[in-house]
Amino acid sequence: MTRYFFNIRRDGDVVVDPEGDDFPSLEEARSSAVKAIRELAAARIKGGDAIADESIEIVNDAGAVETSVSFHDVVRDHLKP
Amino acid sequence: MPAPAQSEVRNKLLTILPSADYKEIAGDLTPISLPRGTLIAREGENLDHVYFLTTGIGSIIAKTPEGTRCEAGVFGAEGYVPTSAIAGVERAAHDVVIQLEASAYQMPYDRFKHWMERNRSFSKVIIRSIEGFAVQLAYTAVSNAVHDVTERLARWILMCQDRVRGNELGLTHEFLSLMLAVRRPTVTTSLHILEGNGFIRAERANITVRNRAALEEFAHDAYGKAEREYERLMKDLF
Repeated sequence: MTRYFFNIRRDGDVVVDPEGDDFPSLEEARSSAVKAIRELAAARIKGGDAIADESIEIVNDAGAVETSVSFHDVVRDHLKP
Repeated sequence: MPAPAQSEVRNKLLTILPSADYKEIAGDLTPISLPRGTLIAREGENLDHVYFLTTGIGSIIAKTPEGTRCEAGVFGAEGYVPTSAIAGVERAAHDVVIQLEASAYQMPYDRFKHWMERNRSFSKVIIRSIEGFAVQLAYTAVSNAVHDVTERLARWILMCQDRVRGNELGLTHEFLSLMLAVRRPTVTTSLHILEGNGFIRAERANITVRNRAALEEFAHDAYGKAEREYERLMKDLF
């Protein structure tokens, strides 16, 4: 298991995840981040708010960004062409 | 050990009992410390004791057959647990777990049953408290259905603060995500909103309430009615 932190980046500002969570792989962490973005985006749509160009940065124990998932990309994947 | 004096027992249900009734039941109360994480009752298992908290907070955790868990209700020194005890059944319907280190008085379950049958004042208080708890559950259900998660988090922080002394709540994001049945980044985001407004300070595994009045105003529709109803239920009983 590896501990990954899900920092939320918006407009150059970062909302730091102080705790992190353990995942068996980076892929699993990424999948969890996608689900979290779905939940956050759904709440914003329901509340009539815009979905800004934010992302969840998946950061390892050493503080390095392993990968990043964009809110817009996740929402776009749910749009039917 | 001598029975605790009523003036020292800081559980609402025990303090509002008429003193003659309190004296009758007090011999069955034993003080106990309950560290965080203590399972007071486990779903499907027999009830051993009933607990009257004097400090700290616990949760009733409801679990679906597939294992999804969510907090159903929160309790502190305003009630007793496990609530199942009132029905005279042997088995707990839900897990009951201590969230913030608690002090309590415990009463053996058979003695609780005995006093429910023998002491009318005791049973009156216990039944009122169950009604108060049912009101809380109803408002939690409404809140889950209609309020956004940041309002629900505000409500939940206020409910916790009602039950502790001071303004520090030693709660992790992971725990809050279980309580609200949302993913952790949602908790992070909502805490950030409350913090940005100056209502709270969120640190690792700790939340400090900085401006309670403003937090109540933010929670507006989500908080207060169940609390006022509890006060009304517990007034002028005797």
